[in-house]
Amino acid sequence: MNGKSEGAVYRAEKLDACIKCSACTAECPVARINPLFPGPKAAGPDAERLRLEGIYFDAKALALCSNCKTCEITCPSSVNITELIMEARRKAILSGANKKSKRYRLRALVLGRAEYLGILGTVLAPVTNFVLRKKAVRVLMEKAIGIGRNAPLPDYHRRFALNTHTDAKTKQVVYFPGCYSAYNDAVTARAVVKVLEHNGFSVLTPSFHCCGVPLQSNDQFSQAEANALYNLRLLVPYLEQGIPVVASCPSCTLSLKQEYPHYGGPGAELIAARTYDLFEFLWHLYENGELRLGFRPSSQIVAYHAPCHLKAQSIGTPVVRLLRLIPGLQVKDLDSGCCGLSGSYGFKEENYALGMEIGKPLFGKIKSGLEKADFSEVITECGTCNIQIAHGSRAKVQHPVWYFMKAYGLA
Amino acid sequence: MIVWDGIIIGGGLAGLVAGITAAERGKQVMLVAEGIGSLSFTSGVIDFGDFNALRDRQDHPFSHISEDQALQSVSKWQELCPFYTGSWAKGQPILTPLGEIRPAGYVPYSLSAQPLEAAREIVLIAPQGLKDFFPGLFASNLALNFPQAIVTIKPLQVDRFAQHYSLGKSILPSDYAKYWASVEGTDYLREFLMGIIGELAGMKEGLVLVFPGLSASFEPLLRDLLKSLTVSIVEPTIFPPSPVGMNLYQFLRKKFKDLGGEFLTNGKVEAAVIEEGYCPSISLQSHGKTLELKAKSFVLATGGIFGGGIQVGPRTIREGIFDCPLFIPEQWTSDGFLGPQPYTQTGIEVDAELHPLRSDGEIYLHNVYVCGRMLAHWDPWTDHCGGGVALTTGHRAGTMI
Repeated sequence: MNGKSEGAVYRAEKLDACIKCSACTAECPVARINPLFPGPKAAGPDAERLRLEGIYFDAKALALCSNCKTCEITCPSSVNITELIMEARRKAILSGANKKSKRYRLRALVLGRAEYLGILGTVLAPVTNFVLRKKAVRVLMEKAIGIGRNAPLPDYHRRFALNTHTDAKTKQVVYFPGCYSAYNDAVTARAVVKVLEHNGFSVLTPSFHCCGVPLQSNDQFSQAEANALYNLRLLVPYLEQGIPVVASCPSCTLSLKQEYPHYGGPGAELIAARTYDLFEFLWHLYENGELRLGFRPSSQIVAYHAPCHLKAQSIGTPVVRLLRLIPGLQVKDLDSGCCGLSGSYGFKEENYALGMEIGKPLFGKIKSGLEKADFSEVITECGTCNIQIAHGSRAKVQHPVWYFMKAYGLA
Repeated sequence: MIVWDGIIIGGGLAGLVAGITAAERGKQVMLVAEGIGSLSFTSGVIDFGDFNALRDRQDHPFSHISEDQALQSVSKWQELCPFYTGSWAKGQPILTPLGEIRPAGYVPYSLSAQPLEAAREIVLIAPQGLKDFFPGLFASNLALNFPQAIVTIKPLQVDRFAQHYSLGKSILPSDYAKYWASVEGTDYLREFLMGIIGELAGMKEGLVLVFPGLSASFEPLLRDLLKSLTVSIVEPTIFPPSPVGMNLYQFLRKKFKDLGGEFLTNGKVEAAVIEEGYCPSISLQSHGKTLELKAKSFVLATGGIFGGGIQVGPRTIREGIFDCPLFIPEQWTSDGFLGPQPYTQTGIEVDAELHPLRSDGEIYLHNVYVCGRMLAHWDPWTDHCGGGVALTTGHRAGTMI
């Protein structure tokens, strides 16, 4: 496609498709509570017209977007609103229009590098957790680099072990654990592997870098691209053999599906079509008659929170479909919007209170549901939704894979 | 591959009603929606127009619905949404976003303007910075329409939006509505309303408050509060996106999910397989993968020209998924901007069971049912029956799955 027609398609699909209905702004969790954010319609397609003419308004307003993608799910005309905003942010960084204070630049380095934090944190996990739980340390962290003192930072545990050796005779799958599973919740990552192995797969996990979402959200766009290209290089041999890639974190999955194809390079053309959300993958197995059934019955009623980045994948809620295959298990979809953490957004001192306000309807629903015994546990696929919900509602939150561990008799 | 009992394409009123109806009947259903449904742009009012006159009109969607069936759809609706009020025989007045009166069918009870007819004192609450709300114009229209009453404007500010006020930024009605529905908001409102009632203690008899951007019918806390007050409160309809429309959308979506229906959002259905008058599967693009969905039957509720279900190009006009034959009037427009416009009649012609028809009158697809705005031969704006057509045909389609 030549540059001209590409530009025309871009305009037709992104800009001209917007009918200015304002539904995105009405549904935007950030615009609802923060008057300084102009809202997705104004910051996305509206301002894009000006940006195309070389007119840029205050780039700080763009940084208020939490990248949750609720606007994209809402848009009745399929405009990629968040993508427009993130691209404008990237350009603002390149042009130097959005210079941050030293303190916030340091914070962006810390929060963007979930991976390095993970490596550091998991070396001496008990020490890290002990230190991070100290109020004085958290106050110091807020003062020094602006990470909110009350923000629910995750615990660190023993790191998820990588595996690149497989039995070529069995069915193979590549597992992309993501930073949260690798460093903060390796038991869940191992559970994912067990469930896949139980279904006859040998599971490969090369030494991936962070998918890049936290880097993007912290305005480190070139590092995000470097990570993507690195991961793609690792994936190429598997992609070329047609081996599927499975991720258990919806943000990682979405970035592999939505962002990676844009970066070009080897593997970029194959990655979206070969990447599956864990439950999307298991559902495919079920549809092909390849999923092991024989689930042990359960009498539990669980409440499910669909993460924003899962909703953006256009796959529905395969986990709910699968859980309903477990005899006796009841699933209730909470359907109460964004949890408010959105990656690392809610960790930032200036966003912590906003994030808690965004999540309020969800927390309220969970608290009252638990009180009335409408359900006994909460599940969600996303690691950061998990810690935010636990923080905001005091509920016990689990990754849904644990219900399959129980149903298979593996846990 | 799993074969669903039914897949509904489109998340507006017709699609959601079809989904709920089918799910209630124990069917395994999925609803695929490209974005938020058109309900969030609507006032939440369900109009039937002059049902019997429209029924007599050849090919009008109501010509496929008997009065008994329409009444059944209405009673199902009131079971589903008990906070809707109205009667089949007689319309009721509601307020437009500018303070005019219009007759309406079934409305969330807090929208009924009936109390205003006996009002002697009308207090228009004017929340500061409420977007697209013009208190002066609104109040003068109220004074003209209810000459027996004295109309006053009562401004309202809340701390929650102090930053908006100082920035001069307008506040979406839905943001005000969400605040009123919260514990703090309801507490604030209680005090504010008690204050007004106290001030006008002598006028208790004929006092009516008009309160834009409340959406009380959907919110338990607000419902309880208004019940405990001794005055009537009337909500006007609101320009889109309206909080009542958004609440109705969320309410129906939740209902559908609670009944076991699956909601696939951000999904634009792009193609359908068609084999000998049947559709075995549809497909949508999901980030580089083609997601194929099989079902025994499909409901087409993608809206018309404005909803994106009918795609209009410079020289083409087509239904985008099944390529159903369309009725297209020869002349598209006529004089009179607000009068009947022929292009509104564009849509799919159906039989009594809502199957799409070919131009020779034969069934085009035997397992597809068409409902709502996609149907041909009606004009929601001049027939005043948009909600009624969506409700009755959505209900019918849901029973066909």
